[in-house]
Amino acid sequence: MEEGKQRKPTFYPDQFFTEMIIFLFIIGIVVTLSVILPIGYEEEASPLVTPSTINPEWYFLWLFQVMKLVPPTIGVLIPFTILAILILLPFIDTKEINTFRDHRWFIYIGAAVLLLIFVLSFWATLGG
Amino acid sequence: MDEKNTIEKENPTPSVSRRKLLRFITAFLGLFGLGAIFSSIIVFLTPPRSALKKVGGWQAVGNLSEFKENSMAKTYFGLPVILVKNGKGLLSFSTICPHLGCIVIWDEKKKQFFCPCHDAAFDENGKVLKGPVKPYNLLPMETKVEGETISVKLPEDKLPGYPSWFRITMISGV
Amino acid sequence: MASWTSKVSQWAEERWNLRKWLSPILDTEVTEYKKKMRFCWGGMTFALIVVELITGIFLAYYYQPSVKGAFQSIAFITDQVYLGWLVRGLHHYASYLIIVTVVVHMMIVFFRGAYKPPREMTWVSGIFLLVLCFAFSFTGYLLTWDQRGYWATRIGTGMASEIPIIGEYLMIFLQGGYGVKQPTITRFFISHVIVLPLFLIGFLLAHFIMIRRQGVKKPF
Repeated sequence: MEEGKQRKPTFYPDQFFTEMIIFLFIIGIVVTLSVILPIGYEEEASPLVTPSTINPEWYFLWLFQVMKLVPPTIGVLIPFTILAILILLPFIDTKEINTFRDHRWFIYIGAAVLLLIFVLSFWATLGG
Repeated sequence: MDEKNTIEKENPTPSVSRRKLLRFITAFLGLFGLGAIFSSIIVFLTPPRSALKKVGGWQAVGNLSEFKENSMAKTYFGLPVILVKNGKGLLSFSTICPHLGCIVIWDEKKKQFFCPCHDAAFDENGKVLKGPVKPYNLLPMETKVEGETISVKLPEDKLPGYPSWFRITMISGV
Repeated sequence: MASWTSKVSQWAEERWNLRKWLSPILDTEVTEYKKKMRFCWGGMTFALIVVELITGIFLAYYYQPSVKGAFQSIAFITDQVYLGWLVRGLHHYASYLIIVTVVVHMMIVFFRGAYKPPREMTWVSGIFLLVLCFAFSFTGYLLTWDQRGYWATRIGTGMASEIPIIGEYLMIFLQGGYGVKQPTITRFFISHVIVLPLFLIGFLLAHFIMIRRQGVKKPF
């Protein structure tokens, strides 16, 4: 086992123990959150009363805002379109890249989409 | 020598195409089998017709004596229906917002209904005022009074102009 | 003198010959740059998925998938069951963090162009894992049978019906009939605890095997 400094890192133990530290770190975060902000429970479901303030989970807020702005059929097809583009992406964009510059247009477009999602989510929290 | 010759004569090029054909048939049967399994799963998980219970037709929703002039009655017998009595008489319409199906809430101050989900608003006759539902009003329903009992007619058939989930939600009851 | 750990490993080795089976997994070389922070998000997601699986199994001991029992059993787990509040909290917050780590993981892969051949199928399996995450979130949301979950499901299934051609069928299929009722809880529960986890394990394996084969993309 002892090969001195020449030994190349292997999955075990090098990466394995790094992953274990990440495991412990992330479990620490989750435990802390559940202790500090216990989740409790809300009102039981009632089919005849929609709560007066109803927001989806934060990761769907952008879609919630989109549904306010476009007809439902278009709104519901947007996430499927995004998924289709993401699945096809590696088959369309096969060009080899070596530098940041080669890839810059994808970075700009990706950042713009992310920004749009942030703006829409923020807009939804304002209730506009 | 003779044996070898006959083998070569019996196994010339045709065997290649026969193998191709066999492979093709196997592939075809395989695909067909997979398709059959997949579609069977979908068919199995489709709710059977007898599980699709409809609530429709005339439904008693309340008593006339419970009503004052210009009052809003809440839902009765678990139906998403609201009754309005004003100068024109007794009106009833669905409280399901035609945008995505939330139940609208009566705002006494503004004298209008609003939808908590996507901010649609309707006036006291169910006419759409604002929101993402421009073409739709709250669905008006036929109302009749027999003696003291008020009944409304829930739609059973396709509603022209309204989305398909709206009909499903209307006939699903609670 | 051999330490007790090596004694234990020798004892195990004599019985199961584990080294031989595990060696291809454990002794694979990893590149030096893999130690960088930006490569840890996938591992974090996996850690969180393990948390979800374990807490999910515990919750299933007390949960009742029925219109009458669901909400009560949630309240029971939260108020009465020892550490129930903690297990629910872990399940809840881990699901939040999964969305965060998955999105960061995806962004890094996207911005580095690491989805390109020969890693295109790793990316595609990743997208399917993302879809599975949302499917887990959608089905799990109803199970608490509170106002939020109920209305989210009604609106969600209603939105599905807006898809052209198959929409109306899809809505009835998802709800298991007309309206969000007992059949809906039943099928969401089974999907959430059995069907989706099986798919998840399959896609995770595929994802990991391909990462093993192709390694991580060199930084710019």
